Amino acid sequence: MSVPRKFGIRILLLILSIFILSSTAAAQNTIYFNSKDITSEIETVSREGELLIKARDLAELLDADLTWRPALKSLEMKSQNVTIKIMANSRYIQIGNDALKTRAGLQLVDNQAYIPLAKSIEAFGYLLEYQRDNEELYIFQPETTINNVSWQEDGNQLQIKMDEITPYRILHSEDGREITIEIDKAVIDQEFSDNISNNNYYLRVVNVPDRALLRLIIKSRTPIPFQIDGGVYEYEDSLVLSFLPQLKDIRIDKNNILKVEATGEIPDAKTKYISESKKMIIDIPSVVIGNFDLDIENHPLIKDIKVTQHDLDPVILRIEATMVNGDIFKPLKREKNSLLAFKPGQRSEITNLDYAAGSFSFDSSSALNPELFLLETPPRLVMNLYHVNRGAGILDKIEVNNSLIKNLRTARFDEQTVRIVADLKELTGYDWVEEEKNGIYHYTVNLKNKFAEIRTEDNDKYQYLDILMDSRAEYEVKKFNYPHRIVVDFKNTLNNLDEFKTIEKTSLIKDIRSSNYQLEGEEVTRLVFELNDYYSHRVETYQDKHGIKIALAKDYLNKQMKEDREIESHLIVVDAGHGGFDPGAIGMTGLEEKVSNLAIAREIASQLADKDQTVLLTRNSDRFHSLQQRVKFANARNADLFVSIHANSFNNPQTGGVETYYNQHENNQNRFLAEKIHDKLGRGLGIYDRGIKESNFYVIKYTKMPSALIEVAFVSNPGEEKMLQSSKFQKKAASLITEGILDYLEENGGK
Amino acid sequence: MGENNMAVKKIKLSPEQKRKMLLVLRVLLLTAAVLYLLFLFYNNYFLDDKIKVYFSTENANYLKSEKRTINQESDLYFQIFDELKSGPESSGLTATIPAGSQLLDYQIEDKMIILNFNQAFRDNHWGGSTGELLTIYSIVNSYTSLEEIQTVRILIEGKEVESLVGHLDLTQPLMYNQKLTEGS
Repeated sequence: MSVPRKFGIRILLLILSIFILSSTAAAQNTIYFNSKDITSEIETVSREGELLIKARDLAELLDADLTWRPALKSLEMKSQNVTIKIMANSRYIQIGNDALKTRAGLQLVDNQAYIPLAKSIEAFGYLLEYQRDNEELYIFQPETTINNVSWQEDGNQLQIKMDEITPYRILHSEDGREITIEIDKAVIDQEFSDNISNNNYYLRVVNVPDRALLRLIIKSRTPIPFQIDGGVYEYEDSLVLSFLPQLKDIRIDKNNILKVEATGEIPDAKTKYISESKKMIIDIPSVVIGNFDLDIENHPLIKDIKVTQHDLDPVILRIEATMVNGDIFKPLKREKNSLLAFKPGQRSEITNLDYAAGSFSFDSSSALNPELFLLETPPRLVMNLYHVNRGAGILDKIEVNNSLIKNLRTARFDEQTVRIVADLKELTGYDWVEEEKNGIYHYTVNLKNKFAEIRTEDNDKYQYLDILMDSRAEYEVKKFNYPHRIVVDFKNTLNNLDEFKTIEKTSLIKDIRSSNYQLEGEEVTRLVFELNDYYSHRVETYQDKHGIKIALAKDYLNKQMKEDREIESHLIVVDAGHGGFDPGAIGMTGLEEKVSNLAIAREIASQLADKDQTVLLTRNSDRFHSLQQRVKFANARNADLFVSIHANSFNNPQTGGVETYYNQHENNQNRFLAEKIHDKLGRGLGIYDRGIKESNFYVIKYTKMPSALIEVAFVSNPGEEKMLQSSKFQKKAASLITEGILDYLEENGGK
Repeated sequence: MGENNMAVKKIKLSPEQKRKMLLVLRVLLLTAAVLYLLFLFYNNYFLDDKIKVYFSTENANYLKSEKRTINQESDLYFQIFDELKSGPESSGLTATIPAGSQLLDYQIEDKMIILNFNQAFRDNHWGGSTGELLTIYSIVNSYTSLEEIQTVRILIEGKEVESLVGHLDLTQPLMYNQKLTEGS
């Protein structure tokens, strides 16, 4: 093949392709019917700017019956329930009683009837979408029918009921006053009436020319509170649009309660007070302004109320009330979730700001909910008080300079907040307490105490344990014997003992330990001085209870003197548990609890009597007494101490050990007694120590004197059942309990 | 003859068949995993029909709860006692209800449930302070775990009692006991 011929073919191809391209471009409108390109299957012409289709082609497409009456030059097409009529020389398509105006009407071309495509297809209920850019015409059968559009939930919800949810879009106008819901391939039910606007919204349904969709347009005077996120959901076959509740009413009732009501739930509002302009600002989230009633005029308390839609993202409604004389309205407890109520009251004042070692306090005319936090550099504790004013006599700054606090400063932080700042020497823990008396609320902030110094000191007569704290100490000093110990429990105290050098031990002190210990659910720092023998001790405080000085008397080095330590005579009631027809727990080999209880109780009675104590037994024989009788017995005799002896039981024979119960009383004496007794039993009885426990047992709950209930051992445990039967074990238990009682009496003196 | 032949014929798997077998196994495994996950999901997220029942730890120091699914059709309050009576599922726990115990009836007043037990509940009890505490509070804690119940009163055969076996004060309504409850 020669080069010129090749070239010629190329030219030919080029010309051909240009021809083909231009011919496609020249072809009008690609037409799709239910997504299928039918352009080549139908014949169309354009007349007067309207696209006409050959009537026969349309009839075939829609599977319609076509009747042509040549005499009348009229055409009738019937498909399913719809019949259209069109006559030559008329521009109207008749559908039932309605008529649709077209531009071209019926046209005869080559003796064939051509009718307007768009209008006739719409008349048959089809949807048409014309994409002008690429001249494509889409004919769809509608995929869904909107059956109903209605307002629900007091006008806060728009429900669009349809056969099936087709793709939809929700469009927001810039100013938020118009929302358009576009639903694809949807038609509206014939029966539907457009009259669905409500008090706040104007709604209409719009068919969009050349678009296969339906638009629902909602308009409002004020921005429409529709949330783009989460404002729409699909419920069964409905599309539900939720609107935020709208403000309905602001009024002040005859009791001066300011009420704000909305068409739906109002979240909690934020209130602010601006004292200078005597304004209260109520910011209500997620509520929109709407058409509301405002009925406050010439009110003695409120001069003026202004309502604005403060923000739309997020939605905030702002109510600005200008007060006549600066009263403050405080939110009342919510009764209805669509209603906010405010009651006038004075902003509370704080007064009497005072300080002490490690604490500061003030009074308030109403209950506060303070916020406290620590800041590091410089170390300070910040306390925010809301909706308060500083009362007379509250200074900007007080110089304190005690062991923990340098200064106390107060300032108005912002319109709502007064701030108290304690400049600290160093950061430490804190807590605060509220006490109410005659309507005045007293607040105390306690900084956590710390050890400042621990010393031991020696002289001829005494050895001293000297504990100095940063601030006033809350403590309990307890002495335990065998092994001999002085225990000091400090409340609200940091255990900073690591910071100290080893404390010098004097001759009487064997060891010094510290631990954190749970006392009635509160953590205490426990300091234990282990002593090498029994010594009597005395506790003194100094420096306004910052310091505790415990003196140990060497005089008692003499063992004989120790034995002779004098304890005044007390009346002690010893209660042997159960009895008579109530055997108590029963062991596997048949030991009845009531038996060992009585043996041990009798032994305690005899040992205590040896120490000049007066002892009464609630029962001295195998007799039944009710719990109430036992309590009455001790209370009626005004006893100094009550001790109940029991043996324990559980449905697992392996469980064993000794435990001591007390009932919590505010003077702590029950616990002290239990601690003393159990210290002996836990260490000395030789069985598992199950500890001290708090419980609401009848006899220790209703007796009026210090009391404890001892579960010596488990009768349900075969090993311990055997022990309980032996008089040796009974005596040992009794003597340990006796020692504990005497220890308690020596230190606390009974009732 | 033909049948005989069939029986002795060795089954040889072609690679294609092996692949199919493996696929089936994989599908089975996946199904099992999905079922297991569903089971876990069910157990963790559908706590609405679950109740807590308390049992004693083996060392008799604490109460610990187990979850039980309730049968919506029968009475919730009887079911709780039935679950308490049938005892724990895990091995570290011990039942607290004596044999023969029956909850005869109950009554709810405000947020208090009054439980009326039979005499066997007391007669068959093993006694002891520890025993009584754990029995009573396993009941009290189980019932007060329900939102609608705040306190529990215990009656024996319709009568008020001082205590069950001579220690705990039952003349007053009892509240949930936090101290006895382990791990909460």
